[in-house]
Amino acid sequence: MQFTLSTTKSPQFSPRLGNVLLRRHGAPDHQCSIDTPGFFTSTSRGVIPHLSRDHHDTTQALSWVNVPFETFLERSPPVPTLQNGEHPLHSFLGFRPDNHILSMMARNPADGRDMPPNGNNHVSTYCLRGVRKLTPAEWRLHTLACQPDIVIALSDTPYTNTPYSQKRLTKSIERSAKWLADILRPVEASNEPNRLNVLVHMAGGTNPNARQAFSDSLLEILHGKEAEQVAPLRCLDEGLLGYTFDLLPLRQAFEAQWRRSSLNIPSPEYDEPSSTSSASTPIPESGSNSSLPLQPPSPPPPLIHRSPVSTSFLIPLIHTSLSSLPSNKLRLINTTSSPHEILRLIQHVGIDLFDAHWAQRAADIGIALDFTFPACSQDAFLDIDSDPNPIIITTTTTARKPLSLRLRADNKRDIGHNIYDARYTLDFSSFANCFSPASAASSDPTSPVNDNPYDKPICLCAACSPLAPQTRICHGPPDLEAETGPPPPSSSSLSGNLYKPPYTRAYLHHLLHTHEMSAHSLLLMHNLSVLDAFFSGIRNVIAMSLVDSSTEDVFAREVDRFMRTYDEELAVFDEAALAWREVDLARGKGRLAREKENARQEV
Amino acid sequence: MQFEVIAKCHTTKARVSSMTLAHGVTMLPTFMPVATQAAIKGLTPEQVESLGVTLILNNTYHLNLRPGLEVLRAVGGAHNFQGWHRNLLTDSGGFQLVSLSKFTKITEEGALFTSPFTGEPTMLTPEESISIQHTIGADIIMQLDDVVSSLTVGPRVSEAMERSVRWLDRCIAQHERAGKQSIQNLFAIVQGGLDPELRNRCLDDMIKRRDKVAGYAIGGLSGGEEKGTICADRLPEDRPRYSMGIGFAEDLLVCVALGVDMADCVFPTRTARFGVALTHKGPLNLKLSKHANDLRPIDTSCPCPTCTDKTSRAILHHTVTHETASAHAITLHNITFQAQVMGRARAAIIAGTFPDYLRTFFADYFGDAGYPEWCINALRSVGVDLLESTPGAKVISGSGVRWEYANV
Repeated sequence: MQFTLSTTKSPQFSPRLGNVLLRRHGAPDHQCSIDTPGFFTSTSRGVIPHLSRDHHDTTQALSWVNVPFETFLERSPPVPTLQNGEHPLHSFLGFRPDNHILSMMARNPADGRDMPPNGNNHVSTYCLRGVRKLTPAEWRLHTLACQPDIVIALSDTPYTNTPYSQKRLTKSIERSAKWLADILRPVEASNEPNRLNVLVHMAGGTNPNARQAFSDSLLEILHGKEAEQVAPLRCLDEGLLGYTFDLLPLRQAFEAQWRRSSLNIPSPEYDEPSSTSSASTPIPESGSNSSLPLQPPSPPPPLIHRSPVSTSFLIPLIHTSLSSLPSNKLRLINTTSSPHEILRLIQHVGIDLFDAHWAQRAADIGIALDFTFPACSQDAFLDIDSDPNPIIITTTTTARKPLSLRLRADNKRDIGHNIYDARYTLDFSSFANCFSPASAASSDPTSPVNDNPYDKPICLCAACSPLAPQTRICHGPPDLEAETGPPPPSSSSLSGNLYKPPYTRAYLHHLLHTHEMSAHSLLLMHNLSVLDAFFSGIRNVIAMSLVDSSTEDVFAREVDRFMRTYDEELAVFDEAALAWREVDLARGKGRLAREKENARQEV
Repeated sequence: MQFEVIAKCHTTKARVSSMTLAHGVTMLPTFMPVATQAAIKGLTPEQVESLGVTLILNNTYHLNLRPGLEVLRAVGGAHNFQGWHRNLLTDSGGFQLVSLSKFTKITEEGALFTSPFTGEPTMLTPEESISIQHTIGADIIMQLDDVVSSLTVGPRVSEAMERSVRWLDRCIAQHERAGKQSIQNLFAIVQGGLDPELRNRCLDDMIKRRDKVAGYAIGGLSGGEEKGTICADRLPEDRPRYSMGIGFAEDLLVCVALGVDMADCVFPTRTARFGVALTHKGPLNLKLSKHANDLRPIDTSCPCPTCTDKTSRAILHHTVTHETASAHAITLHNITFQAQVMGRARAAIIAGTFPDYLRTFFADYFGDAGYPEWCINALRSVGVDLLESTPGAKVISGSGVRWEYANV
């Protein structure tokens, strides 16, 4: 696997274009190629929430999938390690070696709950039946057995009571470096590439000195036993494909520090907060919980964790980690919180790959994303309604235009639609205003793809552009039943595919309020597709600014315009999360028990 | 509707027919998956179609509450609303009034119930039910009937039966007034509880109206043994016969042998969400830890996307009831399984081997666990002896439903 930057001369911390190329051993024709900046999708218990495996193939936005491994530690040995064959993890989880790059990490980066401390030789991981210890030796074994394309080295990120003492941080960086050395040891099996593709999490928490020290330890020339272990590498960094940053623990550490110093949320100009505070005292749990309803009787976990820690606090820390390291390696980020944050991290750091956590969460809570980069032109918002109150549905609304995105403070638009909102009851348009469905494109197969009345890009997700199935299983006698029936009405043919009309907001609104799982499948496929288009837009603009020096700051200008156009507070997430909770309580798991309890109280 | 019987079993009353509706051909006998709220839970219509399903069911009661008739009218019916462009059937809403509402009161005019929205008393009349179903626009619609539990005895049973006949007349009148006969097909529902005499009387009355109805449903049956009493073969030969609420594989095959063409049930999709995969060798309860390390698919010979992709029992066990994705995977499989059971029945009837198919199926499905006695008796009544080749086989009285328990 290799990562190539196509922008070699740019400064260390600036937007950059690159490509991750994976050539599979023994099959040189088959290669996975991902352009960067780009994104990856995360799994929960090994599956992409809401998707069935047949959707893996139809969702073109799916190219890199990250697998947090901890839930598999519930059994020993972990079941994926029992899978035989050439690409065990791919086979076990139903991904295609030809289309999907799989990375594997020990813990779920989006789970910030308090955990028992890690040890000198283990990380505490979270499983359904409690906490399991995972040692670096086991991690190496599991990795070799599962053969992911990429492994994130085990590292010591504390999830105990924050903030952390200097002593704790020193331990953290020492352990992380030691454990990294373990996974960088050459693989004995002869016919495999003899070293794993390894990413390492940049340790050091919110302490710049600790972060610097960790980076230094990666570059340090090794001697003696340590050098033998990883030979022929001279330093750990030589064996790395790239670096990862988990934002959630950084945010939690900042919040804890601020709480302790009983300061209000400082402005971003605030001096680097001191991290020398000593022994920690118990602090109420903070951070977003896993999306799994693990402890149903306890008070509901925060639906969306909105941290007061803005990106500007995080960027200097990332700079500190990267400044001494080679700039041609892959930079990957977990748990970003918005497209705005992604843009800043590209603009000011030059990050290459991002997780899709917030976009996946949006699908969980009924949000259909509707934004582009560069920001969608005003044409798509001609019918802007600034009325903050839900529209009263009347019988005369049948031919209405697609509802526009809500406007928030400073006239900024939402990045998506909260489809729970009653105003979508009779909105029969496709999910996004910025995109058009394939069926709206000209049905003349000779016309170019983008030749549609609105000149909008086409969203090829299975919700906006559902494909009529090309085959149907024949259950009876084939000679009698092979007929496929009439094509669905108003379908249109585009590049040889038969597209049906899009699913509508009104239908999705119905599915959400009736607690139907299909709602979230459609939303996730759509949101990933919007995210894919977002990154492709970013790459286009960066490319533009590289070609011509006169357009050099076009990326910065477009980022500014994006910030002015779209609401970064994500108020739509709060509203949707509330609506989701309401419907879930009324119709979701445990409903009967709740109803019984209510009835008992009434009596 | 165009309805044509293509082949008949030489021994049993089973038959294969083709039913052409406004949204294509459906081969019978068939099983109809239930999309209560205009969605097969967890799946997209494209996925359902790819499984070879050509006819699904929506519930009138639910669609009337949500999304409501205004939405359905605006979008031009439930087909457009849910993006399902093959055949669709709706029930009358009467069953849910009885099963979901404690406060429903049946009068001659209709069913009086408390509106779940406003709490006000609301009347569902036969005319109203038909007109709601017209708005939904399903290819097959059902008369409103007076449903009584199959456990009910006494004069209430005959009252319900006679009222159902009167309501059928009102439904027919409403259907004709609206001029929908050429697009939507009204089915009558034969009631009468378990009393053969009542049931026959109801049947006689309904058969008198055969020129005004497109097909017949058999209602008021749910438990296992009761199917033995159905008298499908008395129904007109040239009309499809629909047994409501039947979904266990053994029930389906007994019904087919007795001459039934269509059946529906939430069982295969609901049980999937609880982690039970249906196979020709009996159900697999994937929640059981004995599947935790099992890397085999549910059924290696199954053509469903879950099995052809070799999704292992182990990963299903790992995700079942935690991730909806496992519900989707097992739902895809179970719908395919139901379609296979019926598709193989069609093939066997045409090939003249249906009795053999019954014996093989039951041997595979119940071989170790024991045959349900009622199935043996019901099939003997149509000339098939399941125990013919295995005289010593274990027989279980009662419902004999096959289940996978933790201690097995």
